Amino acid sequence: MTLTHEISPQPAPKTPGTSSFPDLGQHVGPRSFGRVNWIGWHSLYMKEVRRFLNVATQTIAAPVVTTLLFLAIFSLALGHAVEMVQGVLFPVFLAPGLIVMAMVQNSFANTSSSLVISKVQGNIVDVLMPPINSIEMVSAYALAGVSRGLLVGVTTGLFMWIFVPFHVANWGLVAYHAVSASLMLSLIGIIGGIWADKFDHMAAITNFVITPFAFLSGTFYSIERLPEPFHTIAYFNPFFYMIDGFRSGMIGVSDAPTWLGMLVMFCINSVLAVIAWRMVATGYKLKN
Amino acid sequence: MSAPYTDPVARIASIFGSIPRPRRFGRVNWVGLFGLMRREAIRELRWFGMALVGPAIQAALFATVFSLAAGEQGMAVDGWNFLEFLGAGLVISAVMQRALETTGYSIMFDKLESGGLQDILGAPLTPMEILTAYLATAIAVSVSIGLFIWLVMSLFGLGLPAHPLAAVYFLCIAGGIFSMLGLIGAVFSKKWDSFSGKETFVVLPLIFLSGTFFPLSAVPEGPWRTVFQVNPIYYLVDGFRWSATGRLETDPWLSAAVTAGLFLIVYSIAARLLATGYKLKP
Repeated sequence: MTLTHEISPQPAPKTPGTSSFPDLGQHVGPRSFGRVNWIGWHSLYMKEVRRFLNVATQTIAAPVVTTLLFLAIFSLALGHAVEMVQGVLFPVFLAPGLIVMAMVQNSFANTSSSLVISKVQGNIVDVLMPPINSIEMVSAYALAGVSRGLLVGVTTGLFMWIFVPFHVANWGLVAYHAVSASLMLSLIGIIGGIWADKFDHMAAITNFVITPFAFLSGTFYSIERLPEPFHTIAYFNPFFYMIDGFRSGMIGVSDAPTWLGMLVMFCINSVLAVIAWRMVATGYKLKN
Repeated sequence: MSAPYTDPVARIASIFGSIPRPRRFGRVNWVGLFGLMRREAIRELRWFGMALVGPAIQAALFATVFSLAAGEQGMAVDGWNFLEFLGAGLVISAVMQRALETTGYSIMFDKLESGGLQDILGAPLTPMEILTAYLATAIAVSVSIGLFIWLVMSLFGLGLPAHPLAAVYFLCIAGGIFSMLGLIGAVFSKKWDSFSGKETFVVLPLIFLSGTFFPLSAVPEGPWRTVFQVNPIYYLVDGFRWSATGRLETDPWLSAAVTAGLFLIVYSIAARLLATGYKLKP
């Protein structure tokens, strides 16, 4: 199958005596594409990426500043009480978790806000009408969210490195958990964005689900510290695995086994991807 | 010939039954003032649930996380209960943030989305009356959110205020200062992201690095501590913490004086901006 880029009708050469209309039938038709509509996918992806790059101070710089503030606050407030956690300095222990928190919050914000705004303003039809199938749509949104998450993560990491010198223990693990954490929250953002009818609903998801899970995930303390019922409960928090896995890649210190974290993240992402795909495919709350 | 109503006034009178007159009011247009306050309050009440619950959850999470991270030995700051110390900081920082957003978002929305700003500027209200309406609503909204967070923090050990009257003063002055800052910020912002830029890059660091979460003694001696002591928000936070918990770091009279002075400055700037119509009136 070939990909045709021609969409503009080219006037057919005029022959005397015939109609002055160009022979449209030969040149204009539905665009044909192969199994994947790459142009459509790329357009949607770029639309989503440009959407956040357009306000980069808000989407990239602001999270960096907020994360550095968190680092300062926690180091200053707890510096007198906590010097070492799991054999590393407290700020070093804190830094990887804060980077992941910044990444996932921004991935979630990217997909969810885009969908909710499109729905409220009614321009979601511009995404539903083009010949893009549900898998292409979900993956374009999700990867744009991942792109923002990674961009925020890399920028935050670089700035943090100035204040908290750390060397990365395992780049592969860092990359895996960075991508899978961003992907997970991008997908949750898609599911939440489709489900939400108003901005209130989105605020509710953020307040009651995302923020508590992220805060209570072991970013700020080792879960070894938790008393018994909560210690076991912590192992059921998916955010724990992304932060723990990322931290183990960054500084080589972790609470849970590496393979378990990678497996959990893979399974959760697969389930979420299927849910998001089914929601778009069936048109739940999108088409009526 | 005599047409029944040659006089325009008489013609209007025949339509309305009596001649409408411009409404008269004394030195202060109380009806207008309360009308604007009512409008702002209704606007705020629409989002009040989320505005109340969001910061409360955030504050509870902060308290949980800090106490888990600090552990047993970290529960004391210079002999004071750390959660009590933190609770007061969370209450006052929520008041500051909410006051900024109440006035700031309202004016930004009126300016950019609804065009309602012209209705306010066109109404027979003096700049002082407009300013008072915004100020009173923002203080009422932000202080009630602060009290709610106080309630949540009481679960974590923040008790009743040690000096109730001083607590009221510091809560109100925090709401006042930041609602005026919100107005000033909104006047100078052309777009939404320039307003939230000011919030993220100026106000948030100012609030977070003013002793809301850690005592001055945690900051290393030298230039950094001087930066802290120059930050007027530090006096607001410390004064409030004294009134809430009784913990004394700076003389409360100094805190009261600094915050009152700061309020007067931002109030005059806001009043001047409204009176001259800078960037608001064409």
